[in-house]
Amino acid sequence: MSLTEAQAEVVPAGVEPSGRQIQGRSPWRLAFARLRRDRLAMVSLTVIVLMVLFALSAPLWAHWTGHSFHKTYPKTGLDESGQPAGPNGEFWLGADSIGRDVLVRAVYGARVSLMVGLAATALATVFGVVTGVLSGFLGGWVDTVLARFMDIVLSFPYVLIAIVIATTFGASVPMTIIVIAFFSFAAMARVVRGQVLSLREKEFIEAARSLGAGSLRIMAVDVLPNLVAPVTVLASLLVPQAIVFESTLSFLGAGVDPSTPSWGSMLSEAQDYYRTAWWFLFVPAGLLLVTTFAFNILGDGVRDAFDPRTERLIHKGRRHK
Amino acid sequence: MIRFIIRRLLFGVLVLWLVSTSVFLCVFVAAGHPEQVIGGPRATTETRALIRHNLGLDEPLAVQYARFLGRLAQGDLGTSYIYQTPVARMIGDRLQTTAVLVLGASVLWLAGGVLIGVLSATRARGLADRFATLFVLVGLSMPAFVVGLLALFLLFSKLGDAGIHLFEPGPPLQEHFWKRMILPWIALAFLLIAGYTRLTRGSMLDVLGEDYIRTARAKGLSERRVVYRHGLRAAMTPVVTQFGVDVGTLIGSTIVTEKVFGLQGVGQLVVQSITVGDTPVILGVVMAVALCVVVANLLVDIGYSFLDPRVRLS
Repeated sequence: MSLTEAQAEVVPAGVEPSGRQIQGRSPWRLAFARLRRDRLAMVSLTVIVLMVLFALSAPLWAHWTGHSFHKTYPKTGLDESGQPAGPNGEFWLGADSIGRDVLVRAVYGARVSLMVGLAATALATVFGVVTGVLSGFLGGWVDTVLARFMDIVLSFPYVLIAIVIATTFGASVPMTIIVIAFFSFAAMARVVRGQVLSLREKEFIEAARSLGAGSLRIMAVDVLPNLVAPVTVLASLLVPQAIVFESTLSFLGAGVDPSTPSWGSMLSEAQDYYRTAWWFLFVPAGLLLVTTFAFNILGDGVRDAFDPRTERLIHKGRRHK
Repeated sequence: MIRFIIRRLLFGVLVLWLVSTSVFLCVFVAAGHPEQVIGGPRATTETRALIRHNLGLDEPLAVQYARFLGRLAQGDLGTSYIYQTPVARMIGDRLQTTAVLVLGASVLWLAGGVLIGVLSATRARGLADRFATLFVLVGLSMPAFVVGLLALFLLFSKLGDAGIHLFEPGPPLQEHFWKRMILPWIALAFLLIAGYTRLTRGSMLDVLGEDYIRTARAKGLSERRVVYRHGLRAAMTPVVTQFGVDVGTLIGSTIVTEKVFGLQGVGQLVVQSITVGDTPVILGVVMAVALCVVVANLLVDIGYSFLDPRVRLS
């Protein structure tokens, strides 16, 4: 639907005064071209790439500072009265309440937070797409059961349930990923289901069926490729949600196990020290906000890029100038 | 209409049953050593066995489950292992604090979200709209506890210790009520305003594109009347739906805000009960919250069909 519209629009765009040659472009390339023109989204993408590099370079930072992320340095990190040391030559971004290096912990925390965010989103996307396609395409009682299940998951105070699950089975990184994925997949499944419900009635599905294709083949070959745009958009918006979710769980002590540094667990330790050690609060909070903010802006950009109406607006804007 | 309500009611009961069963399995099967919690670390093996027997934990799972459901059906949430008081009463005490927190914040977020959403929709792609979009993204990017901690930090840097000690847990809610509630209300509402702004803006833009809005303009109504009387009223339906659901859900989701601001609400009760292993309380809170969610959803469904005649017809 929207994709064919998008392609139809390329034709007038091709007859621009510039006289460029008209060539067919795939929806993906169109979307990417639009995304590249979106300056804010590009800045966000850069920030995300830098953050990933930052996380990957964690051992380097440990090497440069000479501090490991789990060791305490009570002699240099804490003053005579036991208060954490502020940013100085030894601890570039200060020390935490038991004398560990905030910078090094934040870098390792970036690894955990990003990994949990991305892995949970990937898991939620796979499950969401499978459930959504099955539910929307098969219909009948399968749809009733799955759609109701999505409703239940979506309408629930997930933090509460997540805490119960996490404390029952123990807090760990894999458990956190599963819990977040479980509470995120329903949003994906609902969107996919809606798309599939309308796709199902399209002529090309009927054509495939009349050629003798089975349900499984139609779902895989004809339906799935048409879901790429909405799924990409939603997945890019699920990542920041998952990162926020992880930090909330870790803050409450129900996420990653407390010895693992993550932005949430650091903030949890920092909450009693914001009066005396602002860096302890601001370093993980700042990194967390910058990351989720960048992901959210990029997600918005991706949505605009896949939405053919944006093209029209950009062209309009240009001609008026 | 009656059939619709009955169907929704049955669905609500089904949800409650599903939730109770999964939480029962989760809490009682995977982590059930209450005799250690009640008897303490120095209890003898005999004492522990006696405690297990008194609680009926030595019986088969099916029997325990049937008994659990039976008590639940009568509204009995069990007795706390630690305090030996009925869970229902403990929750009742805490529910007041959480309700005050959620209702106070709801006024702020509904007013704020709708106002900013309307302004941003009527000036789409203008400067105000861009600021609103930015604000929405900031709001969506922030975890609740970060908002809370930053608010506390700001307060501390302005007022010093005098401002902060208000947010230490302890005194009953009535003491310094306004001083203590304003900041939690703002912190909680801040995040929700973002979502409501986005929702109102989208809904408003859809409605303002409708034919009857053009008709209203064509017959010479003032812009204000067109936007607020004709537009906003129709645009409010999804907002009201979301509002009902959120108020219900938030009863169980204010854990973080309660923790940061030292409010003794339902969320804190869960966190404290988890730390000490007081399973009946955890189970009770989850059930009470599930009930709130189900009732809120039911009210929204019924309210929706009154607000929007199209829903009633189909």
